[in-house]
Amino acid sequence: MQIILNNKSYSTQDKITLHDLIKELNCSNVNIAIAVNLAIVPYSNYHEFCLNANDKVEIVTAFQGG
Amino acid sequence: MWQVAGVNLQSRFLLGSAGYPSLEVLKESIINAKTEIITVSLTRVKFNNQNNQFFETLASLPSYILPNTAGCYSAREAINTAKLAREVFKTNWIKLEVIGDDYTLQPNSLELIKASEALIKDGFIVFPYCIDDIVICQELVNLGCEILMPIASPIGSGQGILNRFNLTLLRERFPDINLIIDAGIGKPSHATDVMEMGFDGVLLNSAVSNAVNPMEMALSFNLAIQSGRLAYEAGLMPQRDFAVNSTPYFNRPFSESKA
Repeated sequence: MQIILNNKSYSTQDKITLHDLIKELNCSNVNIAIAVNLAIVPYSNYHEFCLNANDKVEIVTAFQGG
Repeated sequence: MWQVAGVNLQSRFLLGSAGYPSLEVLKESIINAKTEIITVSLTRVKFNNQNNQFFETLASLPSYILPNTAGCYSAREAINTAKLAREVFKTNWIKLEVIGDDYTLQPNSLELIKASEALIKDGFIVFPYCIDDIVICQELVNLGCEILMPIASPIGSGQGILNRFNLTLLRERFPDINLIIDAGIGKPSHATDVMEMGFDGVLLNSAVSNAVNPMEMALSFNLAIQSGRLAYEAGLMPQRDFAVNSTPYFNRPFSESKA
């Protein structure tokens, strides 16, 4: 299925969990936060939270700021 | 010693973490500044399997982290960004920025008030980046803001205080609110100036990160802010319109006065 990941189209398996998605992306699961369709998903829910086609996923981390 | 958002702090210097030539310079600048609150932001993750060195640098410092909502133009965007920041940084502090004008980067006060109300209800401690308007500031205080961060002049302009009257009025009107000048400070004397006026702290970024030597400039601001605060606590002499001699004229040599 296709999702929108950080504003780009991304192809992944159907009903993938957030836990498996960040593993697939080789992304550290610390110091990040994830929003799906503008709703924040707590870290404790990554194993259970399944994505649907066309979901908009934002994965963010710390950056310099003023 | 002062207290902000429930924590005791020695330093009244809040420093931004953007725009430094390197992470090493950032780290040394923070150490020289003796800052205890560092502002940060969020970015989309790059999936390159590299560690986030910026986060590791932050983690190596004892300072508190104050995430911002820079780049947000609506209450909704700012609220969502604040919630993401809470997840990443494990803090309920948020420097709430809702921009209303691209040219001046002036805050959108209407959206700022909406976002403040929602975030305070959600348990955040809001540090609002706001204009120096007494009515807007009163609204923010009424919502539960215990900190106000009015601008001295536009972000990154380095112009110092543009409206001394408004800032003086804010200090007089909100004696029990932590007032931190955020934006517009360009040189250490600007920081001393606002601290002499009784402001509780100064938040700046560009004045240090854009300096030729950020590490020395951080030290200079550290001393300037301490100096301004000490002067405020010592009590400045009243300003006068005319000269007043400081040397007593009593029994001055060659004087024919009998007094």
